[in-house]
Amino acid sequence: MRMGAKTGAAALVERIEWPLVIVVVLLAALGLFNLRNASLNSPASFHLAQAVWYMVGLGAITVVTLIHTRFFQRWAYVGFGAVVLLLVAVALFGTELNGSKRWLNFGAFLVQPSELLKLAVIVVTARYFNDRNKEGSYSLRELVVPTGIVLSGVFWVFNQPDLGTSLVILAIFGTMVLFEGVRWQSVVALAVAGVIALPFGYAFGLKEYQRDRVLSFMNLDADTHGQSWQVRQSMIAFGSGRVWGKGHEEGTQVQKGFVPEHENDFIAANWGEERGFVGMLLLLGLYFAFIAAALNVSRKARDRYGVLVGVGVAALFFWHTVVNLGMVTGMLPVVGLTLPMLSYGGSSLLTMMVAIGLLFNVSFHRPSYG
Amino acid sequence: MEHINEPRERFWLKARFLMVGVFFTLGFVAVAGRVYYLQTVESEILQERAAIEWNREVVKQARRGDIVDRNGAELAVSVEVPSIHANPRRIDNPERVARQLQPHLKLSYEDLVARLSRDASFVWLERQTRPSAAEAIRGLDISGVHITREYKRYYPLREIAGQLVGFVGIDGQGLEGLERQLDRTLAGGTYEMRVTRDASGRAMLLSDAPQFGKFEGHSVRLTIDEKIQRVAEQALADQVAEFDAKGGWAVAMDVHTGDILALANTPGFDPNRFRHHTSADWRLRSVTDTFEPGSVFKPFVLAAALQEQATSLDKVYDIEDGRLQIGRNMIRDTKRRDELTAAEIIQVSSNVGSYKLAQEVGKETLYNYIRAFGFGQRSDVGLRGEQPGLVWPADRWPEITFANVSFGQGLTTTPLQLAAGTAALANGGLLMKPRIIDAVLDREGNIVEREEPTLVRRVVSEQVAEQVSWAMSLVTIPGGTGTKGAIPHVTVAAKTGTAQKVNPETRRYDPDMWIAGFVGYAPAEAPEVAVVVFIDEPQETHYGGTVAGPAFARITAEALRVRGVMPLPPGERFQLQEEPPEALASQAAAPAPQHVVTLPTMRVLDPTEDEVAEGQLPNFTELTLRQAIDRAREFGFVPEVTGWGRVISQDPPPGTPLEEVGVLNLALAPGGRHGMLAEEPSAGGRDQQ
Repeated sequence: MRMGAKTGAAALVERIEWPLVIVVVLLAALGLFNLRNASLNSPASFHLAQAVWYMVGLGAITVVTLIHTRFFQRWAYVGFGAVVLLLVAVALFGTELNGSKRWLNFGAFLVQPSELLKLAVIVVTARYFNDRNKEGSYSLRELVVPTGIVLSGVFWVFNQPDLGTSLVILAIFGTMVLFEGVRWQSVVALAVAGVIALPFGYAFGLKEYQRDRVLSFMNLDADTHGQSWQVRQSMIAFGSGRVWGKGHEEGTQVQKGFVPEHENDFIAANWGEERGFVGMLLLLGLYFAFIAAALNVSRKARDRYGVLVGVGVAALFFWHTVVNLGMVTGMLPVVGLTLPMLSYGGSSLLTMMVAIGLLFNVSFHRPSYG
Repeated sequence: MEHINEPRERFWLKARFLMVGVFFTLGFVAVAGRVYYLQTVESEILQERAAIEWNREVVKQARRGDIVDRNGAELAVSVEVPSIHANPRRIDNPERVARQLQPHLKLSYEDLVARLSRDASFVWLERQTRPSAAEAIRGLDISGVHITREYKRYYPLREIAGQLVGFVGIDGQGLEGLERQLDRTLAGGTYEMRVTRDASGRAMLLSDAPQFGKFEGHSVRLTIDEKIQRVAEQALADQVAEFDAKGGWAVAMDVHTGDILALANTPGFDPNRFRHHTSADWRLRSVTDTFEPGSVFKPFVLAAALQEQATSLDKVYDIEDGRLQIGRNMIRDTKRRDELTAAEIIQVSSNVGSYKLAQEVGKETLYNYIRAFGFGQRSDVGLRGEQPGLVWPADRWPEITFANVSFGQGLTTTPLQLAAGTAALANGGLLMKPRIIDAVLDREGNIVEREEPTLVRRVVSEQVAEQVSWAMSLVTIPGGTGTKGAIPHVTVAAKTGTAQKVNPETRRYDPDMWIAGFVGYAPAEAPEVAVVVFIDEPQETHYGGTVAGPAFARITAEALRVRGVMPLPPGERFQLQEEPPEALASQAAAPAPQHVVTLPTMRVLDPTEDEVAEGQLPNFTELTLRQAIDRAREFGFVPEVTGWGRVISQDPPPGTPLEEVGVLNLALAPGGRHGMLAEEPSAGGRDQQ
């Protein structure tokens, strides 16, 4: 670890990416406040538990920030391998909830290694392309190895089964790869192959409940059962918020429990109902600001690793946010992705905090200070 | 690691950031666009849906008022019972839930699975179930299975007054009888609860929970006395069983007030189990069925003759050996006699004698008296489906009809009408309007509305009434036709009757179809209760005195007992073994009637002239089957028909917009003009007592 010893505390303050701090603090505050209102009629105080997780997350950010960037680069593959081993362990000894095996039971708490995989994929992809350090675009053949590495992890997640997490990891990886540059011929070839593979993947690759989700998404209004019932209720919540929102603690559609999972995946429904379109614009603005700040960290990074970690974390937030909001507004099928910083849940929040930590880490250890 | 310094590399990096930035921005714009669409364009529609989803206005029916007898005995009450319902959307495994529930419910396993798998958020599993079953299901605590409380209508007396009380449907709407007729009074208000519900349909919050009590329906107190009603039904049932009859009717009435103390029909029916009976069993036949009364009608002829001072009780008539030829027809008596006094004509029920009495009065005047006693028109007692009966105007009576009318053939009436008319004789000549509803009570028992006894008119003088009572008292002493109607220590004024029925198939008087009747009142000297009993189509024997008499005696004795009527001291009782007392026999004593109302001649309905509003269902009432079908065809319907005779009711009612008419149901009943439309003129003389 190299600390800015020269100018002491002032230098330390300078090395912190303040715009990112502000955005994160605002998002955290908004998230806790919203969670409080969303769980008004719940017996549990979700926002208090979430606040505790924020404290833990703050510690995680600090630790991740202070560890030298090189540590992550050096241990990237080992770390990735460890996460894959954990995923294998999940497949073997995992705890099954609601028909899928996603958790490792450590007695006191459940750990969801697929969350760790998101981080591991960002770090390992950054390390891989940093090592290649290639100028210009990659061909498909050159991408076989990194894709293989990522798939070795995603495979287990997909089998849990967890379609949402699998897709978001592939999307993050894809964003990073495209950022690195792929020959346009390759992109076209991939797109064509994808279109051809889609029906086969739907028929053979998906579990029945996953097919149901897709089907129910296609047919929102006809079927009010199960999945699209949730979405319909969530859409009603948004709609009843209108432009200015129903007001503080007035989000009855959500707060009376009509929107299922309204503390977790469907948390945005509460914000949309209470705060309306104006509130949603504010929320989107904050996420956009966060992503801009992340890309700014990326832009100023000293090396390709830093650049790619910045892009990867931005992609992580982007995909989570857009897919989550898309699904709660009935634009995308329900795939079970959380809304970063707003959804209740330790695993998800910690993942996001560690990802934020990786960003701080990149900006903290820029060469000018090292 | 190398720094990224070269200009070309820097350019590409910038370009790639730009691309990623644009891509991310597009993603956010898409989401923002979607949110904008939901929150502005779609907002109204979504909000409406929201209102339906969670802010349901649950309309609950308030507790229905009770129906009680004159002493407060409950004939119909509402009790709170549990109902089981489910939200199939909340049930993941219908098979498992069905297995858990099945032992506690009536539905079969397969039916339960089918209901629980329905694509709905609400299904009933079992309404108005046993509390123990509901408790057991509550204990199972299955998510998506709920219990609410509903009011179930319960008829504690079961068959007693079943047709009178009627019944309600599962949602508490009155379907038949008083339940239907008094539905508005009984039902009370509905109250709307703004119930906020969670996603599973559970009520979460009752906003402004009202004081439910104030919406409660009013109770209705009837004039019926459950004890008399019970005896009446039992007595009828016994007679019907003994003589293998089709059915029977009985009415008991307080002669001073017109209060209907009993309105009984056999076979009865249990409103608790109305589905186990046919709709024919639901009918309150003692007001909806008309028939030719037969000889029980003779006292009215005597009363008319006495009031007109055309006769006296001891005036002697030539009975012509019990045979009298009128044109092609002959009227006959059961027993051949040479002569009888006016009183004896009643005592032995001579048809020839009754005709002679009628001749003393004259057609037109007799007709007016018949109408004045309440025949040929509804009593307006306020019971659904009450029939007016039919009395042809006197100018349409050929001589044979005049003769027939004098002994109760050739006109139709209902048991209730006869009871009211007989009660007028008992009540010193004052016709009271029959009363079935005593009072409407609120839930504290305060009287909200009271129907007072109503005097319709004076028909005959008090003295004439007493004279008729004296003559009728001869019927129940040895030598009379109605000795089986006698009650120890009480003088009973009565009249027997054995009326012929028209066979609906042949449309002629059927020698094997009779209605045995017994009407009267007691005590004859100071009457309190009037009772009429009719047994429909008794087998083997059909004499009114034999078949209906015992039931009459039982009902009347019970009514006197319940009403606390003590036997009169012997000195005050009629001395029936002697000649009529001077006062009663005297001809000059009868003052002119005070309020005999000459009623307008009855209009013969021409069904085709009914005004029908454009596009509305016409009135089919009183039409014959053929007329009704022709009429329905004009409007494009083929009606569903039950019964025979003439249309007495229709569903939907007249005036219903045609487009709302699905199936047109018509109920027909004999009566009306049927007897008179028999191809053979009423060949009288078959009346035998």
